Amino acid sequence: MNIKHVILRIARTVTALTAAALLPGSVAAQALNAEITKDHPRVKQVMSVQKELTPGLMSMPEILGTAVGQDDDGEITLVVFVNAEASNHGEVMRALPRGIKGVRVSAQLTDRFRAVASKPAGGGKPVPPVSHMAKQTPPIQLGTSGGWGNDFNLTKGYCCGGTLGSLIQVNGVQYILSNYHVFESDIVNGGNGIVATTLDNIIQPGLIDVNCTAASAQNVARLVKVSSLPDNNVDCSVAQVISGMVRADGAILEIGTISVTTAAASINKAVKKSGRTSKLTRSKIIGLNAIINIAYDNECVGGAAFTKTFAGQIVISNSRSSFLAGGDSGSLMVEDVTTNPRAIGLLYAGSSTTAIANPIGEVLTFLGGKLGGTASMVGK
Amino acid sequence: MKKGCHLRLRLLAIPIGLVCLMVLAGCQRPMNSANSPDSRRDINAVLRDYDRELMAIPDVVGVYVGLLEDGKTPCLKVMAARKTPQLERQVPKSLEGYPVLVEETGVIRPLRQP
Repeated sequence: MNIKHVILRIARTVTALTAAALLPGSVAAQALNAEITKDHPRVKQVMSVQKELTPGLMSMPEILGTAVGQDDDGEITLVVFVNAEASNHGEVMRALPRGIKGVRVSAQLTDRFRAVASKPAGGGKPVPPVSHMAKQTPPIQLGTSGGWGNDFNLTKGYCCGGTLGSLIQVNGVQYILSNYHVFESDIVNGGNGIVATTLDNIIQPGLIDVNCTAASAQNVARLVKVSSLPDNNVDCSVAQVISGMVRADGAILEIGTISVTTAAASINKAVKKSGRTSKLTRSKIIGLNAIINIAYDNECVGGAAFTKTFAGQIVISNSRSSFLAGGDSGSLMVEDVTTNPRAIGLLYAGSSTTAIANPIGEVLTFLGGKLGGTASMVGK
Repeated sequence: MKKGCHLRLRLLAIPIGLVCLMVLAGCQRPMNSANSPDSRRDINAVLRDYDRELMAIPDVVGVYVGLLEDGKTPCLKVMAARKTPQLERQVPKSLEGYPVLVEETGVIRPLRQP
């Protein structure tokens, strides 16, 4: 039978049953300014029609549900949810009447409704959302909040932090990879009386996520100063892992393990990253070979240290900071594939429109030279 | 005899002059030359030759090789802290046949979190 005929037949049946229950229009008009709750006269009117109409409509596989809503004109409406996956959803949308006995009908296309925290097949606990800022039980995964254990400025009343982005290895020794400005850019005594030094603690989470109290974090690695800036073309730093504190497979939150091989950047390539602030995000590469001026401070919320002009950088779309935000510095940018993605760049800077990454090959070459071996990503 | 010599000299001067003009034209790189796609240099080489001039324009924070909105036409992009009329006047519309676009990115900063 034709869908339109089915719906009209249901509508006529409802009309006959509910006509006596509907309130006069004048009462509805006076009540419109009252608070819109289930006790509102107009809402009750629509609910009455909904009650009668819904069983018949829900017998149709194309209809997923009904509700009482309010349209853009402020009119209380009967909302009918039409299955967007139904092959004849267009026909159903057109067949639904615009009104039934003075009640406006609003048809809405929707995907199937699903429980948000669903049980995995075979049973099990619902999966909570992943926190990139919380203190993890060791061995920790990367893509998490972390930083230099002394990254604070008492004078200004701030502490700083970033992301422990990924794991590399040189001569069999594993190191957490992040940025120079996350691990070792404190080069003046200034607001905390110290400068970053090799063997300093690298903590997880970073000070910004433990109320600036290092004792509330855990030591996961020891800084190995490589002084990539201002003289080199990479903003990177490393810390040698403390045994047992970091996942030896280099797993990154919401990404998992990555490939040991790396990939070159190309325009339009889909990428993703896992970082402290915006967690797992996706974007695409929009530019190559960038020359960019970036100003660096001499400590957390410190004075100007130097302006570095980088060359050959990767440019990534970052509309409204949706891909990379403050605190994501140090995140590893990988290709957007499901299994063991290859690293492409080390993220370190940006604005509310644009994110910037060092090509990973340059990062690994620099670090290998500093650490006396060949540097590679830890992965599969 | 003298007249013949003068005539020969004048005739010789013309091709020499033309050669000089051609050499000069080859040495200069007009900012808005309309090179055909086939004769253009590699875009990365073009960027390398002009990056200092572009980066010296006030409020320019970066330059890079990108694509036009069609997703396939190579272009040069100039990143600006602020897209001002003065900046747009100073940035050429094209360089050696490649379009040059100005985009307001704001200042690019290291992204740790205070």
